[in-house]
Amino acid sequence: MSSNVLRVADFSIFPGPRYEVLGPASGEEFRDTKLLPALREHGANLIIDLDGVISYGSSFLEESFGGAVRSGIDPAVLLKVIENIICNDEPTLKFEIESYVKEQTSQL
Amino acid sequence: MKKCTEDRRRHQLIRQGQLRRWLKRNKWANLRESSRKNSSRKSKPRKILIAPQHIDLYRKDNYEALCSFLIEFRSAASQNSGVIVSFRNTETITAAGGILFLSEVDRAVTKYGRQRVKAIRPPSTTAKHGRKIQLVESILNQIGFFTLLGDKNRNCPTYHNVECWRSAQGIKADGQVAGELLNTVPAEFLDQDKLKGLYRGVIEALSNSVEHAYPSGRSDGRDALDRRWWMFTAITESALVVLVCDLGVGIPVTIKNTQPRGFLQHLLSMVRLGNANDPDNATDADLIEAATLVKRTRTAKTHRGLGGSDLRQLVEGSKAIPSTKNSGLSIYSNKGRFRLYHRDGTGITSEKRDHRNSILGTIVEWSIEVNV
Repeated sequence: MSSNVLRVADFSIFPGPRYEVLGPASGEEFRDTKLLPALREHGANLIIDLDGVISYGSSFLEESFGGAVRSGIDPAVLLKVIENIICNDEPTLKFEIESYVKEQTSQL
Repeated sequence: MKKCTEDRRRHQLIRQGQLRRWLKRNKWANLRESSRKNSSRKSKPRKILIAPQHIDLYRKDNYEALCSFLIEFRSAASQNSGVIVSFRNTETITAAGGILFLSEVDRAVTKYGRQRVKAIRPPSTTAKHGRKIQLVESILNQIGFFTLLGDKNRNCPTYHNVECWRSAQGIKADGQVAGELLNTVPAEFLDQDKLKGLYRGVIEALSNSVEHAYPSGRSDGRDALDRRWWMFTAITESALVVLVCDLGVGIPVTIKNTQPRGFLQHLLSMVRLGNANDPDNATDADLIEAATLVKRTRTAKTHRGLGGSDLRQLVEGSKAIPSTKNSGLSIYSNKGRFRLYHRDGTGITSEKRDHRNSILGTIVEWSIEVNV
């Protein structure tokens, strides 16, 4: 069983655009290759660490986390994970990601 | 046959001691004949274009002059004879003017080859104390203009501000390219909060360029399929500026293609006085401003269109990140310019204007006042 800590900085310290077709280190790539597998393995016990990167575009975050809801992840599990998210570099990221998940949930 | 006759004549003259005079007379005749043949094969000379006195977009008159110059440049570069750009009158290059100028020349060189475009370097000016100043040439060296043409950079003085000018380009929204360019800005000019705000905006601008700027050919008629973006970071006399430029169809076109008409009318009602919200009658500046507000309105029902707030965040701030004092966002696209700025003491204001000429593309610029 792999660690239940998912560090975005291990994926890239330069989070990119929304879609893979637009450029490297996209939200789509992060979601499909890192986030979804980790959520399926660890569920609500997953710890996501957002620190150590230059910054995040809103499109990257929405495609990663809002896109996880669109991909079938239970919003309740995702919101639980977001409660424990590590984001000391930019504390407001937690609330921003939460808003994307809630907004996507309301459109289901 | 003619050669046999000439040889026979030559031998006769040798016998008669008149060879030297004969050779001289025929030499000039042969030269005239050679010249006549060569002149009929001469190609059309290169067109010489005088670059504007101010390569700049900030002032309206300079904007129109630069756009007019670029119309002529594109036409001349497309001719087989090519073009020479003379900088003999150029006194200043500003960041926005510089990035547009470089990207247009780069596009032409990529399409037609280096041999089509040549340059005459700017003259040096003399300061009060008699020292020569070569600021324009220094900037052109720094942004890689002469390297682009295949010329070597000439030795000229380095200037502290100019050394901080950096450029990059690409065809994908590559955060690493953008981030590494931002990291070249000295830390004294860019703290972590501002760096994060700038990166957010830049990655969004690059994404927009890659996704929307080039759905079709550019309307300059040159049929050059070039999907690049260009990025500058520069320290001017009083500000750090970061710019992203593309030579695509422009925001006024893409917003009409990507947003439903009814929603676009709603956005225009927010940015235009009165009830004039017909997208077909909106100016380019109105459409640019509307594009930055796409996610702000609750009418938007999709998860897309978040980037407008990213572009504005450095200036306006967000729930937890304060706005940056003495900062600005300027977006030039086709004929329009929209500007949002925060002046210490007066808060956040916006202005917009439209021009006679189009830059045929988009430039997004962030500026932060710094002590240089």
